[in-house]
Amino acid sequence: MIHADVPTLEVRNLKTHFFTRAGVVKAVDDVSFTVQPGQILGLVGESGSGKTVTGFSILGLVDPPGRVVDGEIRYKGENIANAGEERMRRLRGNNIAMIFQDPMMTLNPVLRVDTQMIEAIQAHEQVGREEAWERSRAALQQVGIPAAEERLRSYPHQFSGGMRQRVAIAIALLNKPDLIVADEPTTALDVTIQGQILYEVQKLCEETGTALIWITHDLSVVAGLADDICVMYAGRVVEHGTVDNVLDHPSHPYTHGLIGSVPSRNRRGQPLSQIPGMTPSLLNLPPGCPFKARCPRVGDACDEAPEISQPVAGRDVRCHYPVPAGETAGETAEVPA
Amino acid sequence: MTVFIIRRLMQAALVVLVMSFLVFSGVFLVGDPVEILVADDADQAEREMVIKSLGLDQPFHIQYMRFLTRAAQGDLGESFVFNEPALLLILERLPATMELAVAALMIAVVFGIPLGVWAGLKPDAISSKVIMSGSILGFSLPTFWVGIMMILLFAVILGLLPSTGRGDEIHYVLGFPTSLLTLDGWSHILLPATNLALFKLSLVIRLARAGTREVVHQDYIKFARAKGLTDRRVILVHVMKNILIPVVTVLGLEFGGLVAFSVVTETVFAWPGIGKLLIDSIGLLDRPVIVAYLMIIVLLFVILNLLVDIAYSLLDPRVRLQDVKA
Amino acid sequence: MTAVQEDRPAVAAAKDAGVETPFRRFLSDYVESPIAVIGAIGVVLVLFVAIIGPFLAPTDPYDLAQVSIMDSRLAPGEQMMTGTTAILGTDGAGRDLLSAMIYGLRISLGVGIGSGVIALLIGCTLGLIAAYVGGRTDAFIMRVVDIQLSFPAILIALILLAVMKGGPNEPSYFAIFKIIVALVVVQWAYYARTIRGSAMVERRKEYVEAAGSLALSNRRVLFRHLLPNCVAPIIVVGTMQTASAISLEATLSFLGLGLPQTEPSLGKLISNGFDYVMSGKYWISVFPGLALLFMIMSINLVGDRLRDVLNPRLQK
Repeated sequence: MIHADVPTLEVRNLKTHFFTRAGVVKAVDDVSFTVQPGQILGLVGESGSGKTVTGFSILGLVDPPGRVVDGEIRYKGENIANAGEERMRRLRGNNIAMIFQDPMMTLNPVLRVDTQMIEAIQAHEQVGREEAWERSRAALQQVGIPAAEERLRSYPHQFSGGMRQRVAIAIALLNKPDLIVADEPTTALDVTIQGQILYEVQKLCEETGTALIWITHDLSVVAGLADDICVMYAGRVVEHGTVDNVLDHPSHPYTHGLIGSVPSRNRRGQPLSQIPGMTPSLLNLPPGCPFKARCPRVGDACDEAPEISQPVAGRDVRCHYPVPAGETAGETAEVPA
Repeated sequence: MTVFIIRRLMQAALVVLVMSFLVFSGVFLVGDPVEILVADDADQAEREMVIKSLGLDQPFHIQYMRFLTRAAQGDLGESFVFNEPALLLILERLPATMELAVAALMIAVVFGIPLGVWAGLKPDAISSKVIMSGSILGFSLPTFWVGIMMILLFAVILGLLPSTGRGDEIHYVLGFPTSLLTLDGWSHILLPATNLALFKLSLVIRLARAGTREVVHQDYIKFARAKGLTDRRVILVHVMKNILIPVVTVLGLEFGGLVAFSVVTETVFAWPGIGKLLIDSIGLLDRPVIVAYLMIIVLLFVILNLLVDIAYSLLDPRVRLQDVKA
Repeated sequence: MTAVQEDRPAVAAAKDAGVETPFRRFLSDYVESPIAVIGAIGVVLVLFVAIIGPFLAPTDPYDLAQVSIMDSRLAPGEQMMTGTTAILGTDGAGRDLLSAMIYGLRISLGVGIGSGVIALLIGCTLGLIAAYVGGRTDAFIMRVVDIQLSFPAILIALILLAVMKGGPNEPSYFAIFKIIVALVVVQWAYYARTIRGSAMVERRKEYVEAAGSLALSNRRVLFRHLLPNCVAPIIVVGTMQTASAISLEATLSFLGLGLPQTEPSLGKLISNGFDYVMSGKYWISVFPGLALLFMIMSINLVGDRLRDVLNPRLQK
């Protein structure tokens, strides 16, 4: 089934806008990336940068007043950007699964865990309750939940946050999807639990060949997990490349600043650098580069919005004045691996 | 669960006792029944005999204690007017009222929940705005006037449905009299039940809409959709089960309101239930019947509260857990 | 509904100034719902008719010289003995229905608003005391509120009126007094609960603590700081309660426990007309009912919109 030349997911010039009373919010404005089978893509950005909306766009779960206005989302070559509701329903949970940020909120509080797992299987396959139950039990064991049988009969409130997120991951894995979109699944968890879950997700993706889009604001998570990284700012991709490459030699001033603001044991005692200013409001964004007000490298050309360029091979950067390759981030920051 | 029910039953008994005192002392003040029962030309001796035979010459606390001991044995006194046990009068008419109230509740739920959920799912659709305006109309319509208009339209002008009573053919199901086994019975209950339901229908619509609007924005609904469930299942299982909790709670408590409000509907449609009996009894100052009615209503409310709590814990697993711990 | 009237000059002022005042924002939010605007117009219309009623009414239903039993149950448009045309017909006693309705509207609205204002004063005072004093006082007041609210309003009103029931020769002002008492008893608990709820929320906020640390007197904190911040919910509950009080009064009058026979209250008119519905004389019940519905619906539409607009949870 998996052809090496057909990527699992290819997003081209995606634009998702929200038509609110106050005006148009361009939550996602020209985003492109590709995910190959078995590959892990880290989608990084501050809150409000459009990374979550990108994830919802892929699953066709953008609620009004928002909608995908332009661009292509190719799942194994098929453009699903404006596919019908029934087609999307069949893809969701079956071919493309999603894990949400807050595990306390993603499971329905009044339904038992087994109900919520079995329905996910039966939505896509004609299987009996017994078999679906058995598969659910196996999935819970797979994500490291002890006493799975007993746990299946429990309600979500009887689980801890970390356990609930494991259940959510198990549900995402139930139908062996080709792609999982994980929206900050470890942000709400303790650091130790976060580590365990990261490790297990990585292992599961390796075992099953599932591609993964890991949405996060935490560069250190991406550094240890992802193959590729996509940095978003104000609804746009500002830098895209392999993790090692981008983190060692960031080209975009925003990525540069972001890496500089990560605390690192190498720089103990030194003040952290920070990006001045705040994320701009996406409502009626002024023309030009959205980062120009905060950018240390701002120049005359920045009054015009930059297009994607490739200053270095294998690297997309959206900047008029990219950081030269020699000027590494390492001189001010070292990202812990 | 058993501990919970026993504890609640004890609370309920206390409430009934307190209410019995309030009801009795309240009704004790109702105007002098002797004026009505004794002929105008009766002399003083006759009057005193009547007063004595009714026990009205005793001080308040003696009357109350006697009332209480008798009430415990199921005796709520004898009607001044009918010369029958008041409790019997109430119990004879209770099934008719229950039938009416249950029918009204069914109408409110069967139409109200789908309409409310629809209005909650599509808040900006024209149809939803019509539903919501309709629900305000339902809140605003004075029940008795709507009843009269229904009689005018369906009984007088169109001549389709009967306007009074519950029909002649009463059958017994498990010992309860009901008129719902015949078409005639249904034609009699349709107008009064709809009339009584209107207000609660509006309430159910609003509750279901508010619940739906809150639930659909929850992450777990989006997650359910992300699993590839059909909209049908998301709405019927994931949304519905969550909004049922507030709807059942409120409706359980409102059922008592339906029984109380049937006073109006029964008066308009000459429905032979306890509401009409109460209005007649107030008019005739038939004190034991008023007291008996109130005691039955209080009992009904207490039982309903208990049932609602049990239903609540069955619907919401979080409540059940807390109770096990307690 | 009083808010609508008082607000008129303020609207003009805000418009002239052309600035975004909170009130102007409230107004622009409010008028977004056309049906709510219709409701507001309806409320103004009802108030207008109620205030200048005696000048509008073709006849005086209290003036026995003008009322003749010969005129009873005239169909709409027929002429009465006095030569006046009964536009909406006459009732069973021979009163011009339109005039009776205008007077009835005054009574219904007066009883509704009057009982609402008294209930508001009592309920707010007790609610504020409960919130501010706390402890046992709070527990006691709120327990009474809870018990009362667990029983339907109509049941409580029925029992009270039954308890206070007087003879047939009772003066009519006494009957009006009794029904106001019943309506106040029914309503006060809603106000008490509402204001206690908002006051408890406000109390925890910093400005009340700040006022306390400035050693301002209790009374000053209560009336200058807590009360103004509870105004929005009170307005909402007040409009809704007034509507239901008017409805309840009409219902009680219909059941024969409200206003006396001589008062042309809307509920009483409908009740009288009910006797003639079977013989097809529809107008005696229909028109007063429509007037009642119009009044209650207008108030409810305003209240419903106010709740949406004033609810901070729904503000974007």
